[in-house]
Amino acid sequence: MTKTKSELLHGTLELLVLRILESEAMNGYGIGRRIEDLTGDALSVDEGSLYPALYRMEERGWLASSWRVTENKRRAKFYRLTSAGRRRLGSERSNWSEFAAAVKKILESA
Amino acid sequence: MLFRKLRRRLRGWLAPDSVDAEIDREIRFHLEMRAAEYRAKGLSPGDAVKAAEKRFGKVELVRRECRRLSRVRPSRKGDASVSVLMADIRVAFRSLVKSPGFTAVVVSTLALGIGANTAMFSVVEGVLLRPLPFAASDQLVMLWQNDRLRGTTQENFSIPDFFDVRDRNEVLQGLALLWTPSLTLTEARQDPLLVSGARVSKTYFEVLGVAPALGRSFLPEEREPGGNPVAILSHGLFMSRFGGDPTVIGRRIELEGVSTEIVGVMAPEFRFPSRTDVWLPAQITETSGSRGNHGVLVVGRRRDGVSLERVNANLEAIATSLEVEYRDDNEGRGMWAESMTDAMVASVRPSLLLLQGAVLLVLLIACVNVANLLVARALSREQEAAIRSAMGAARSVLVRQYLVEALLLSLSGGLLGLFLAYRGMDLLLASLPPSLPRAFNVGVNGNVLLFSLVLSVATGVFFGLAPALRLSRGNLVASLREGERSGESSARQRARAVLVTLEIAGAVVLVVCAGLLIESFRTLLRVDPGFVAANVVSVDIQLPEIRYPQDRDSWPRWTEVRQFQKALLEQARSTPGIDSAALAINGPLDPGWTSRFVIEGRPDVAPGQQDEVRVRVVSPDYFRTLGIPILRGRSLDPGDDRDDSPPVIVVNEAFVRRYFVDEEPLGARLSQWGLTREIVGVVRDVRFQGLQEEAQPAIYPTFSQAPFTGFSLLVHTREEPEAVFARLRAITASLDRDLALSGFTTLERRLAASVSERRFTMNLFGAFAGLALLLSTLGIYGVMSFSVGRRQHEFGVRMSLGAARHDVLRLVLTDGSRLALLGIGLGLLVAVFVTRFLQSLLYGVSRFDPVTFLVVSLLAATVTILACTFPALRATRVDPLVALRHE
Repeated sequence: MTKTKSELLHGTLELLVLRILESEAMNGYGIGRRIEDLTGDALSVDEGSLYPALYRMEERGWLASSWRVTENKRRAKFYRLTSAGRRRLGSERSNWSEFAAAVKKILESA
Repeated sequence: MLFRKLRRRLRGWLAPDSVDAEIDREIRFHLEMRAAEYRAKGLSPGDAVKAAEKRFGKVELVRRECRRLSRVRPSRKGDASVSVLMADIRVAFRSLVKSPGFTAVVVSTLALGIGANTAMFSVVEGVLLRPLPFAASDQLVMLWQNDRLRGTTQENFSIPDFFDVRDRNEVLQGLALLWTPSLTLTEARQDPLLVSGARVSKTYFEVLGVAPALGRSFLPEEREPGGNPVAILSHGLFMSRFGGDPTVIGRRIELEGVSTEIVGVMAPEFRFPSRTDVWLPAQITETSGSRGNHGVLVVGRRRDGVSLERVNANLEAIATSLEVEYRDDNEGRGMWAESMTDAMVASVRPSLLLLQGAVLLVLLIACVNVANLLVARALSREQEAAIRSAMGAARSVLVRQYLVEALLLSLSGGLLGLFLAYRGMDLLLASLPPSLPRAFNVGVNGNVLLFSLVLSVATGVFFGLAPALRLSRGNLVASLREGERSGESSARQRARAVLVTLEIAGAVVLVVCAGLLIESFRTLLRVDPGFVAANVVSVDIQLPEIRYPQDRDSWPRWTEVRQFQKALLEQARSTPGIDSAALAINGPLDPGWTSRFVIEGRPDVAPGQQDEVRVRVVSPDYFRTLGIPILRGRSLDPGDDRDDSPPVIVVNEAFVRRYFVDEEPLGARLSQWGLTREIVGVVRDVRFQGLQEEAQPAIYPTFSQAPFTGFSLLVHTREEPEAVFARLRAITASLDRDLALSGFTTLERRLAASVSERRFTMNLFGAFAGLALLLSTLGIYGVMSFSVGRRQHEFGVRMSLGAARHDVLRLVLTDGSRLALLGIGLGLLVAVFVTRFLQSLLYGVSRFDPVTFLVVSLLAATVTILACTFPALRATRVDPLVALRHE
């Protein structure tokens, strides 16, 4: 991982994963790639934390998983949001907005 | 949803392999996709794979974390569900199995500590804590008298005093008296048996709040004088003599030759007085007995809400008025009460509690050792913990896992300890001193199990929490950066050093106490008892009144009694293997009883203020049989023991010291029991009340002047005691077929029994102290070994810079010795205060005994410093090159 890319803020990984899975089910590799694509490679995903995060979120009941065949005929584990995950995303999203607004306020006032 | 989670968890639990395989497959998929991506960017297939792996990071760690997460549900909203606990236990179990050496050391250390505590607690519980088996037993009190004029503090009651207290007191709702005669039990089909009786007043069973388990209590008319002779059996006698046959109710037995009907059997747990075999109605009235005869025990029940202090105040007032009303008998007499529990166990409470305290300290020391081991182990797992924490594992999860591991260890240790205690129970029971009250209660029961469990959990939390909290609080990122070779921080090392110092101090305290007890015991055994115990066999005989009348009018000419005694002595002397034979109402080490007396020609003393002297009636050969030297005058001889002999006595040295300071005792006359006797000799002091008590003034009259129906036969023999006993039994049977022999023993055994409580306390304390010293030695060894292991690099540097091997040796030894000496010093300091609790158990040794303190210091210093030598030697074998290459 290159130092030029900003590392993920602690706790934001989960929010990103939830957001990405909101529209479609994906496998772990796909999720990592999608984060990089969406942020234009500005954020790097530490793969060492991605998988434990996925397992943890599954245990918490936010994600469900199943093995499926990918477009290029490979078997991979796909994750999708559960209804609990959807609720979680909602609350995380508003938390984040509040946080961002607060930071913005500070930056503008300085 | 619920079903899905349940299935996942079950699969994780039952088939971890398939979960592992899925994780592997998922990660492999990821790596392959990434490698394909790099290949598309133009890397060679081999480089692409390497780049993908490099990007992923530590594959194995991720895999392990995922595996753990798929089994453990992190606590949500703080609820610790059963499955989480199961998972934690599983993880802990696996990690302990992976290091069997560590686990074995910890579990066996704890098993020793908890096992010893459990065993000790079973004694404390059975003897001190378990309530007495009576209704509302905390209300029960024992009443005693004391005598200010003679300085006695605990005397039995007289019957008239008992009735006065019964009628005048305002604090007791019930009061009963009893006395405890020995009785000969004869039945048609079996050998006669001497049993312990208890003659009890009317309200006895009501006051105690108990009833027979079988049959009935005494009827009102049976409690009156002249009522039918009836008896209630103890459960013990019921089982041993009557085979537990319930049809004994209504059967007749002979007690002291009187045909007596068995009306009831008590429950097994009812034992009061403790050795009673049979209870009989006292059949007394308010005019029975004399005020000067103090022969009965009194038990009372406090009224609701009345404190012991109020009882005592009331008794004092009654005693004061009795002093005035019955001046001759009651002057100087006080009355007091103590709780029944205290009356039974107060004498052994200090030593038992002290032992429990000692063994708890041993467990604490064991815990310190285990805590140190766990910290060392946690340290080596710090990196793992750091990585897991960095990857998002909550600290609470880590703490919980360490705690679960510690609890698993302590519960295993507790279980093994309980097993050891249970298996060792027979050994423990056999080693209990025979004089220990309520010893029959000792055993592993629910309370003991609970104690063991609480102790296990407490120790687990105690030694588990330290490393767990430290780990979770510590700077994990820093330890991640430090890498494998991270040395201990100085603060951490200091904490371990403090623990070991305290551990050694604790051990030193115990060893000092044990040393003082051992020295006391040695001093006690060196005491000259005043007689030669070797080769003397003793047996007790009780002549039943029905065949051996005790006629007050013809006293002291009790023909049947005297004839039996004469015949018995003659036959015993002519038996092969018996050198000499004698009779005595109380053998040596038996306190016996006292009587008032007056020395002729001395100023008159008011009747209530006469001195008392121990009266020890003997046959003339007593002194020869027991090897008691005659110091002045002559011994008693057969001529003194005839019915028409002039009354003479022999006195002991203590008597002469007290009453004949500057006067000639020989030829002086003293009157006692209405007879005036001449002193013809002085014998050496013999200890009556255990070895530790100096002899009190005593006189030795002959049986011709003071016949008794209960006495001991003592014979000097060089043959096997058991063979001699068989011969004595044959002799008595030839003289009287229905006579029971009891109390067969040798004087050496009696001597040993008299110190058995001390021996028990000393042995246990010694064992605990030894264990504590061993554990603390292992503790300092462990800490020094660990520190040497961690400092290899430092030693390598030192040696490559020119330090010689002995410099390194000195370095380590100095460190170790400083800990050891600090601990020993602290221990000695604490011991100076703690030995206060030991005071009552010491004999002939000051609790500050400098020799004991010095020996203990030297012993502890030698052992602990020796323990440091091994790690120190290992430090000198560090190869500088190897140590430095690891850098």
